[in-house]
Amino acid sequence: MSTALLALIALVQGAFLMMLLVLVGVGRWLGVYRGRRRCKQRERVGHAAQNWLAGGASSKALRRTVDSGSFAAAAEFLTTFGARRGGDEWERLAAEIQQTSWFRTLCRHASSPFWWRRLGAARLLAKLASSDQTAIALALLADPRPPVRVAAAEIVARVPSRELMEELYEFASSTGAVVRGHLLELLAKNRAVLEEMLIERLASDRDRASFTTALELAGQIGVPSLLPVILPYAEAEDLEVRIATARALSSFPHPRSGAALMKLLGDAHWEARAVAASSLGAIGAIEAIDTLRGALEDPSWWVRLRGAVSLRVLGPVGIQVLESVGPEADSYAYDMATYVLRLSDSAVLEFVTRSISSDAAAAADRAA
Amino acid sequence: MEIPLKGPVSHSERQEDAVEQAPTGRARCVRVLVLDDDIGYREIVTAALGRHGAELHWRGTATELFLALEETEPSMLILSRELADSHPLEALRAVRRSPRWSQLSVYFVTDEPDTEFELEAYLSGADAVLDRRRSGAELSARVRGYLLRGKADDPAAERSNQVTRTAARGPEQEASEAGASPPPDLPQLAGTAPRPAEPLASAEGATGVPDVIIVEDDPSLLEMLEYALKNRGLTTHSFTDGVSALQGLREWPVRNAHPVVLLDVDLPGMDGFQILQQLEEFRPNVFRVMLCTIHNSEAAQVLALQTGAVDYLTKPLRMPVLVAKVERLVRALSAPKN
Repeated sequence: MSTALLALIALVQGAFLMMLLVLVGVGRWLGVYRGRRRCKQRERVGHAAQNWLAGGASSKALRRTVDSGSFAAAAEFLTTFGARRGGDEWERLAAEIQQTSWFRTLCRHASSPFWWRRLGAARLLAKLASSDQTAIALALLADPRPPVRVAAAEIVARVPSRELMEELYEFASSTGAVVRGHLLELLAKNRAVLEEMLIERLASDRDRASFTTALELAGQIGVPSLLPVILPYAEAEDLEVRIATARALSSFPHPRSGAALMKLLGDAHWEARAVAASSLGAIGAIEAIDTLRGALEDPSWWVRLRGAVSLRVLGPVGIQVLESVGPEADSYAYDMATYVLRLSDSAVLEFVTRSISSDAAAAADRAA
Repeated sequence: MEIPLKGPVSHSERQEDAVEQAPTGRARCVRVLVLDDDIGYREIVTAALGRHGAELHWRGTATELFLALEETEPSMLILSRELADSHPLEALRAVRRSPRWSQLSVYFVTDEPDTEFELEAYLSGADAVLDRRRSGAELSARVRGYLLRGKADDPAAERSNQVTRTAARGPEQEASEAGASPPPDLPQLAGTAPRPAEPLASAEGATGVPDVIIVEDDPSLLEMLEYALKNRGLTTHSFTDGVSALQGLREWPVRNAHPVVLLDVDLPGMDGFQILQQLEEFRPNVFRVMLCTIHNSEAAQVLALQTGAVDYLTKPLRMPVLVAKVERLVRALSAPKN
């Protein structure tokens, strides 16, 4: 009895094992088959697109090819092709793809209950969308999943609507430093809309995080019309605002910026002084040589370092000042001057470019 | 040599013809060294540069950069930012430090040009940072411009160009260029900058020619540009409208210098493209024009480069990048030729 039962169990197990092996085999075969089919479809879409771009195929033929294959095949092709091609050639293709039913499916995916479909839609819309998809982009920017929101942010580069920019601005003001930096770069690409938006925000915004974001963006685009708007904030009561203003002024080489920064170099707080010292170097303020020489004797190591680097950045005149600091003067100033003079050009360059971005990141973290 | 042309380039064609008839009897060939491990990009570069008869040399790494430079002796280096085993910015700085290769044209290509990288690349001495996705047409236009300008630097080609220019300008203008003082109707140079102790070896000191001529109608931007450039020890002169700019540039006695012109596109009276075309028509290869504009399209960019601009900057201008580019160009122009 027990032997028969054991034999039965062994037989059943054997059967299950065989079934499992068959299933694995069939699964693999299906995977390879589908992969090959998708690859062929992708190639077909690729050929059709290349032919169309070269003028060898009609728009109708292109649309038919895109619509006849699987959704994934066309999506894969457009993702890889879009990563390699840009400019007017891509724009022509994108305009044609927007006429396909494949694109309408893509737009439907943007409101799918599955987050990965929404993510895929956001990524493709960032390469294909036009102003007709503003509402879809707004919905994706408000998605509960952060990766979908970040992917949707890229759409703003193609659809520079004020509404979308405002939404993205709010998102950037409330997020961490790394994502924020990326989002601000995207915003800065639409100068005309942003300029108008920043002038309004800088006049009315009272939220500190949002206000410092506006100042940072003003610094990123460096549009001259923003200079008179941001200059008064160099004397703001809020330390973070003064620091953000000092940093923003590094993009406005102008005598008035120089004067404001020299004043900030006498600020009670070391961080404001340090950023002002860097910004004076960035705008190449030759008239600030004496003030920067004075910064070498600042009680804060950071202010001394940035003052010395700025003198070095100002060129031969600044280097002469650094070389003239002797050991008989302030010993801290002498140490800093010799340290910075010993740095290679590459090291100074890296310090200058990194300090701008790291300052901005630190300020964003503090404001958040 | 066959160069496909697009847009209003008849003046360039004429210039090319003049160069083709140069006594050397040999077309100049541009040798390009490309450091990139992206196979797909190879097709784009080959298609873009092959049509200009460029000789392409490929390396997948920058570890033996100087060996590759010695072997290939290129006149142009294309560096990928995404090279797997190298620090391309360090490679660029090493090239700039090397006396032999410091004047080499170096272009960066990158998948995603971000502002921090661009700034660092230009401050390190890059001539251009190109977006890999749209660099084919741009590269082609840049190489074409390089060939035309390069030919003008050849003594034989220069003689040939002189014939073309004299015919186009007439004897009065020739006489004006040969004279020692600027025309009386031109305003005095605004270049009274506080120069650094060791100024750039620019043309200004010897000839009274400014390093940079700015044509910009926005007074606040003009003020910023002048401040930024003067603080780097560069002399400047400004025009605020298209008509006076064209008149001034057509008559300015530059002698052997090649002043950099920062030319806005949207100007009252006459737009920047028209000015550039006129300059290329009547004074080819005299000025090094950098167009500054809010128009960001690839077609406008390629048209500008094909018309004769050395660079194309889109607004909002990033001042540190702009100053680095202009300074590098002025230095390159004032450096002694090998």
